[in-house]
Amino acid sequence: LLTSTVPTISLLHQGGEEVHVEQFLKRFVAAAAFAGCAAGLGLAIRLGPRGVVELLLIAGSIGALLAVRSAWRAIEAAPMAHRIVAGGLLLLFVAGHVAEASTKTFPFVAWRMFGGRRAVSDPRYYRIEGVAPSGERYRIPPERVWPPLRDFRFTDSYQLIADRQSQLDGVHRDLLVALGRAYMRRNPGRRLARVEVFEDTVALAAHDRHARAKREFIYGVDLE
Amino acid sequence: MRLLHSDGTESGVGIVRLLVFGVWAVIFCLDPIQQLAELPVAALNPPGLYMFLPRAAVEFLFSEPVLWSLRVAGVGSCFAAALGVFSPWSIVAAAAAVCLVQSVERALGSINHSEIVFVLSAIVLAGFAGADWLTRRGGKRVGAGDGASLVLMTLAVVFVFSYQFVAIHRIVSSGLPGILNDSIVFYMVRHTGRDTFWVSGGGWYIYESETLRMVARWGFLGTTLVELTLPFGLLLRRGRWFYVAALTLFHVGTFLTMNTVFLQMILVVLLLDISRWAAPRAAVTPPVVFFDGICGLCAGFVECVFLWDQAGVLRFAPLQGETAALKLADVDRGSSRTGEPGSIVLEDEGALYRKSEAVLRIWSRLGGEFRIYAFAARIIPRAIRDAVYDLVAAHRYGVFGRRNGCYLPVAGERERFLP
Repeated sequence: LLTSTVPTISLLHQGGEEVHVEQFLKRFVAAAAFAGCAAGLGLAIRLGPRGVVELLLIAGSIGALLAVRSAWRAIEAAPMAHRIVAGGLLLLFVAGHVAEASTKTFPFVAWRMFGGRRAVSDPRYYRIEGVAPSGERYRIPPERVWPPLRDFRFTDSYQLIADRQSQLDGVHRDLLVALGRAYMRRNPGRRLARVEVFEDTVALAAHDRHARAKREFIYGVDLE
Repeated sequence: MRLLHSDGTESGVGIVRLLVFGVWAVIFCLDPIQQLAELPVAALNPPGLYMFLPRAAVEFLFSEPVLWSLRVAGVGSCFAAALGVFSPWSIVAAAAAVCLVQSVERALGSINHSEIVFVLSAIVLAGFAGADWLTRRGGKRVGAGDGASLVLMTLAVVFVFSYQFVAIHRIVSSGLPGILNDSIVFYMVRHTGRDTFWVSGGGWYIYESETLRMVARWGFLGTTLVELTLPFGLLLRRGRWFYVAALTLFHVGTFLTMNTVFLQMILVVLLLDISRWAAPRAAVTPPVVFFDGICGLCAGFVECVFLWDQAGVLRFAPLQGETAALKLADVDRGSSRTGEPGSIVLEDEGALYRKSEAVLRIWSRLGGEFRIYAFAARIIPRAIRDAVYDLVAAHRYGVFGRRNGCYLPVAGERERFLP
């Protein structure tokens, strides 16, 4: 759009080279986009002592890589625009990691997989079931009803909603109704009257998964 | 000590671009994101820039037509970016589509890391493509030197640092006791019991056996150390194979014990020396592409091949020229309707290749992603490929036009064009 609408008027001369309005605008847009991302990340950063330690270790690691001569040669050989892009993206990548709020800084996020110390306790799972008018029950795995919510996105967030049931009763109900209706759309032969959620607690202390499943009813909604 | 990809080539970047956007194109094809319109909007909290949108805009965004449009745009732009068509616009559009779709998919809550490296890779590729556009004047990139090395290095650094950041955070926040207690066993058990497309039950077996629990604990420590030192994989050419093997083992383990597929594992290709194996193969005698000089299609194909062949591996000669008359004198001309040996013929290492085989061998000679295209196209039986080739060749003058004279190379091309 910029190249087609902005006339390439010769604005001034720098060392004999023409600098065009188009070129200025292109760079301005790129710089503004980067500054926007950096400002968003900057606002989200809450650097505690642990964050500082992590940042120092990361800086050390980057420094070690940059100490390799061939890395410098490659950087020197690259055009200036490429150097700016590489540096800017790495900066955003690191800033996203040390920022506290991954939701705000997406897609530059914190990398914290399996980082928390967890005591082994009895794990709990949600089991969602649809109840037909005849009383027949069908298991409803949410990730199969809505494949885009793979990788436990549904169950992780459902847990947050269920934990705050008193405040989020309307959301909770609407979500299960939507799930039940979507299940019926995917399985036209199965009509549901109700969706119910149970919580299964596995007794790990027994060291026997077959002895699991203390099942507790936690929520139910009528679809009709 | 040399840094991996410090001698990167454009072909290497092409391979990664094909891989990254090819994977996204397939994901968008298979992923019915329009189904998310069925979710109640109150339950959705899309991350990133979406957070700043008013609720009405989020509602509009999560309507089925918008999600369908996003999906179609994602598929189109990713395929175009993977194939290098309409660059850099397709690459920038594809990266934007990837970010938008990922934000939409993560709107219900959790953000996991299995796809984030792939998202960041798309952003990195778009960043460099955008930089080339910014600095382009009169069709030429401003700046000296080859930028491919830095593109590959940045991608590789993002890939290895994603692991290293995880390890650093784990060590700083939990310390050694946090790694050697049963934390990882808890995660395995918890993930095993969830509903997903693939349920191995591996986590249960780990928990029930004291020996396997010990293996898991020490394996977790080993994995953390591998992750922590992964940047060395960029430096040590032989040691890199250890890291590739360790990462593969780790991700097979998480697949079996946690039912989790880590998409970024596909990018382990960045730890391999793609800058070398993607480079065009040199020949003692340069292969010669004979083409129909008066055919609009053939001349257009040759122009494209000439541009793609940045290493100057190939030579070109019109079928109507002296070189063709000399080298193709014994070729059976009766098999062609036009009395010519074909629209494209390749002479490579003393052998002549015709029809689709000639085209695929030309791609192989170009190296990089073209070698992958050629490999993929060979899945189609030769008889079918040649039938399609014959159909196009038979109608080439009618559809693509006929030139009055032979294709004339411009200055700078002449040394690669034979008479």
